[in-house]
Amino acid sequence: MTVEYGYLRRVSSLWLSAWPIWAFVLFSALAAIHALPARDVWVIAVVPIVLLVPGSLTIGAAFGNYGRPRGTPFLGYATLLSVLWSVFASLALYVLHILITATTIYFIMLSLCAVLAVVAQARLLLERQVVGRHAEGSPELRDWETRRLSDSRNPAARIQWFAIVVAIVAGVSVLIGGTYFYEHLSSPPSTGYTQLAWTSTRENNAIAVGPAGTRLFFQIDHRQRNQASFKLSAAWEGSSARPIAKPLILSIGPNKTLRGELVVPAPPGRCTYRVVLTLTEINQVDPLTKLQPSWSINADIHGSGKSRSICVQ
Amino acid sequence: VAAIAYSYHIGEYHQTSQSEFTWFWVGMLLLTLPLIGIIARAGTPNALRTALLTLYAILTYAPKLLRNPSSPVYHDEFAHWRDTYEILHTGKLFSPNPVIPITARYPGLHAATAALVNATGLSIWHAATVLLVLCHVLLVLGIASLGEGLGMTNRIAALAAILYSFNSSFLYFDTEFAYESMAVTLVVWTLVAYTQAIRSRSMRERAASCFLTVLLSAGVIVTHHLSTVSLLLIMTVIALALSMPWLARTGGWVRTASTAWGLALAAIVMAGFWFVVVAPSTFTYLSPYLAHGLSQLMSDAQGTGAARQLFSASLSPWWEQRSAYLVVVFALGLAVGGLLLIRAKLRDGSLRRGPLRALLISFMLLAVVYFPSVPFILSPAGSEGARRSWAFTWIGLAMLAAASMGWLLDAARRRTSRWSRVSLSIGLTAAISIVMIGGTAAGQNAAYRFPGPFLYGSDARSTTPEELAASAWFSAHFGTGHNLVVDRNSGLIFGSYGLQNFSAPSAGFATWELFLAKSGSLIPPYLLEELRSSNYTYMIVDRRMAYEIPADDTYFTTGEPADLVPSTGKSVFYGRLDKFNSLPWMIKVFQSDNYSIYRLNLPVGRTGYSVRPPSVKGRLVVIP
Repeated sequence: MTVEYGYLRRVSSLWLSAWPIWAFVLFSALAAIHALPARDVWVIAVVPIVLLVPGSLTIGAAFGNYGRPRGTPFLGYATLLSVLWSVFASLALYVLHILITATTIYFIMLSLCAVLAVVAQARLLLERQVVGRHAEGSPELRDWETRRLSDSRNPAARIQWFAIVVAIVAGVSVLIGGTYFYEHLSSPPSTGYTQLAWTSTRENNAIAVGPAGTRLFFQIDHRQRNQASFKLSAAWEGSSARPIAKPLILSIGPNKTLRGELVVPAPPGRCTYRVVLTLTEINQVDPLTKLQPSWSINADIHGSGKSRSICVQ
Repeated sequence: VAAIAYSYHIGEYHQTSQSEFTWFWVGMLLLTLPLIGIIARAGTPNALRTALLTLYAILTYAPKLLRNPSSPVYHDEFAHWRDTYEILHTGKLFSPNPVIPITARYPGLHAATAALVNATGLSIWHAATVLLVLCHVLLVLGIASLGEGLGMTNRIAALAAILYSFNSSFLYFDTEFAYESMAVTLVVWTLVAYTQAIRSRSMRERAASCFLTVLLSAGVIVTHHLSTVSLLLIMTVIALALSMPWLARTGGWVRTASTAWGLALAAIVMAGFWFVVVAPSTFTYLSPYLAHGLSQLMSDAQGTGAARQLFSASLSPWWEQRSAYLVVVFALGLAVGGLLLIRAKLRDGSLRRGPLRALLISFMLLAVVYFPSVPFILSPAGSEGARRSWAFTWIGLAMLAAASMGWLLDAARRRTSRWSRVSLSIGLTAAISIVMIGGTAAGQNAAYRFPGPFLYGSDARSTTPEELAASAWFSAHFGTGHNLVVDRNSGLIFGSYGLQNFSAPSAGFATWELFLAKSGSLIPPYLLEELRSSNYTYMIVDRRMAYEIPADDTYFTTGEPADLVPSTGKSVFYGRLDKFNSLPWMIKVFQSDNYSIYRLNLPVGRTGYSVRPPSVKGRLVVIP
């Protein structure tokens, strides 16, 4: 027997004699792992702990060491129960009016794991004593003990675990590789756009304008690959639109943002008037409307004091 | 996987193309058929078979993973993303969800994803992907474990898992970030624990299995409504079968029957509590699908209804569509074969009265339910429910068909003539390929399965950078939590990433009337009053609704009047959206190429502007 084999056997024996406690220690180490630098790297360690430990402890507490599911059923139950405990923990926190945060979830799961680990460990110790005392007389226990021993020593069982681990690693590697390959294939350029908007929330309601007039701030975002020419104009809306200001011709480069202001003089009286700011792209045709592409926003303004609805007519 | 990735790459440039389908299936068949071949071989060691089944399960997640590796794309995924985000940012469950309101009452998936985000620091999407890959793999392994629990050999149980993977929801629907993806897996593992509880001979093992069954069924109940109903039905059928004298009454039948009934009743009580106390809206959400589905099917049968034209607007090629029809034929053939094998076992006495016989007959009944559900696919309201039921009925069908498939494979192996052996093997391979292709084609449409250029009203291809930017601008500018008037597609982004709220339009809240009203005509006063009293403050208008018919035939909600989508191909909203620019109670605060955002200043009576513009002049200044 080599030194390494003896060492492995000791580790294996230490694990088997108190696996619930070791699993609990692993889970409680999550807090320390979070404090470590290069957290992204540790995610690889955190995910299996979070998704296996609570469920494994549940199986240990429910079945004891004998008669518990092994192989695929163990893996399936352990994962799903771990996931479900986190759901039930969230529900419990909600019922107790405690906010669900990383800390509260962790501590409630840690408490749960502690209880499950104590039960699982107690059952492990008790069953071992019972088997030691009564295995001779109880064929059921003898059968369980034989199964347990054969599972831990049987090369076929070890091969099965090894094969599953290899399959998981291979499968996940193919998925990651495939995703990497796909994301590095050339993609069609995403469709660009242009947007015109007010930059404050003042325009939500009719704006009262004093004798000095007011300034309405706006922004043009040109998220296109090419430079384009635009005409920017402002007008009073009504039965016949009347310009407020001299239009501007703008040439906007790719992915550029322009800020601007419309200086509006005080309107006559206290009536409410509508101002429309329009941006029109020059020498282009909108495929939907077959017209020149245009964008517009508007705002209502009125002279100082309360606006009068009689001005509507 | 490279071929699948390449097929998606082709898809990105074309609305639909034969070559994307060809490359996709070349990739899928190359990926899966060799694995299926080794798994099905009688000589494959059990350990290797289980490992290969695990590999098969992981690899079959590739199509969905590559479809949207970094963000939600499907309709329901946006709703579940919002639910998870709310848990992470409010610390509470059950926050209202405007995209699909019922999802908020079933927080299983969202709470689990949020817990994983909290534990690992991963993003919502990446944590969800980890969880969904696990659920997908465990679904396959769960079917195999269930098969072994029903007395099948490792090989036949693995075949059952493979056959289950040919159901129409497996590759895309039950892999999306939605509650059913997790719940289906939980249903299968609940049944594994349930059958273990029924079949275990030792008291301790039975008690522990009962405990697991209760925990897992509680998990299903808090995760998904339809899965809960399906689980309760399956458990009740099994409990009934275990009480039948002809099936199960042997020594100790009272113990097994009482275990089955006890667990079924426990699940029924828990589900009843959840439905009544936590999610009372479940019945109003689910009942229209069944009721309308049935009535439409009756109308179709009497020749008075308008049956769905299968694949009418499908982008998939003819051979995929034909394969979808053949799936039913193959399933029927294999099911009949499975029934004959069970009959033979009953006759020769190898399937004696007892729990195993009762369990097998129960799963046989579950399989048979698949066939009457197929006609529902012709009913517009029933098709969705029928398709969703297949994820459950195929559990039984897979068990039944696996027995036939095993028999066929053995028959091929026993052939002395090499030619007949080879031809039977080729025939089986071809049949498996057709069923895999057809099963997938019968599920999600091509716009869901393949990436592609923008397709108006298609859910999975209608999100654009422009829409994302408009939503981001709105949230940054006005904040979150506003009540919006939106169409279905805009609602997806504004209601999820944008964290805004809206209610689905209905006959009593017909927001489409706003859009339909002609310029100068009256907008129904009740609607304006409803908008004012419910504090609706903004409206999002996508101008494409005036020019295009949505690919999913829905502008606002599934219950909208049918005449909103005329068969003429011309939008009923054509020429009716410009009126919003001049309505006195609406102020346009934003416009991008396709989206306009209006502030609603209600009540109407308090607003207005003069139609006689003043002549005063100002100036325009632009700062580069």
